[in-house]
Amino acid sequence: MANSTLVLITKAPYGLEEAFAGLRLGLAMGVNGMKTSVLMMDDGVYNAIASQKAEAVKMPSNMEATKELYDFEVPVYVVKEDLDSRGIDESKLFEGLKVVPASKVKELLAEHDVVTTF
Amino acid sequence: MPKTLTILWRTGSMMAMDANVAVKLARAALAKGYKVDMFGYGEGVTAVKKGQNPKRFPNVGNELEETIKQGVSTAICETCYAARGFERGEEIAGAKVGSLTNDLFKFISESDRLVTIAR
Amino acid sequence: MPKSAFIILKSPQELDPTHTMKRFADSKDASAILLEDGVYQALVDGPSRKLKESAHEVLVSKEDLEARGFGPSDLKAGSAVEYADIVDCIMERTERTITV
Repeated sequence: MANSTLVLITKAPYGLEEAFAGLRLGLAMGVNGMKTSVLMMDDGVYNAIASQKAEAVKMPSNMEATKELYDFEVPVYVVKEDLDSRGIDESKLFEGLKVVPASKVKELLAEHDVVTTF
Repeated sequence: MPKTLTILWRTGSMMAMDANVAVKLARAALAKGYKVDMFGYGEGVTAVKKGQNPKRFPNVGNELEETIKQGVSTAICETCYAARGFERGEEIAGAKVGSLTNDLFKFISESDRLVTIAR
Repeated sequence: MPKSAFIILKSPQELDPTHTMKRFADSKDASAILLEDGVYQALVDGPSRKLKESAHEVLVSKEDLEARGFGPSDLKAGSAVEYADIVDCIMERTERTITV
């Protein structure tokens, strides 16, 4: 019986539905009180950029969808190496995100019963 | 108590063979005595539309309906369903138009394994 | 560390799954399950070598392999299996399933 879920966000925002859908899934688990964490990795780290402006393409904001997770104590991790390889400085990220080295990924896996990828 | 598998699929019925793979996996797990739940999310919800007629391609709607008859609980995301213009009543028999918060949460919390079939 | 099954649906030209696999699991804890175009990963020298380095077992969907014109003797990594074997891997031999 799964008591915790790790949600991987691997896709960038606004071109695809995936990242938003993953954040919503994380929220649905968090609302129910399930231990849930979100991990932004690969192109998913583009969701962490503070200056994103969803209204430019009339989409719901992935930044707001991420921040809603904080209300339910769902931590959101961002892989540092994936930020670095995309030339994104940590100063460009919005508040509340936890930047972690890729070596933390195995720990997160061990701490959650199931994983889903977006 | 048999172990439980939840399969979350997110690819549309005609986009790829993903939904068919999800069904095959569900049936193979069922045949081995596991309990199986399935949840369609995003584009995946198109697979439960009744009346699909893909001519010579596999009919995933029919396959899914048969799988439900065999005992696989199947639900989909209503928000995703409505977004694509589908209404309640247009789904195959036995598929539940539900939600992440109620149905997927229940499936996951009762599961030993979660498999995601998506691209 | 939990034993993990990695589901791979994409060809090596579309995706190098080993980048993600290595982050989540050591080879001894990793199983690779190749479905749909994922089966091409086991048919090419470079990608199949990387897969063997990243997973201690590689399961290749027999029907997807055959549909694409290949057979078990063409595999450069892993073995051709039925869905029943894939279910065993997911439910009994590993504890987490990660789609790459």
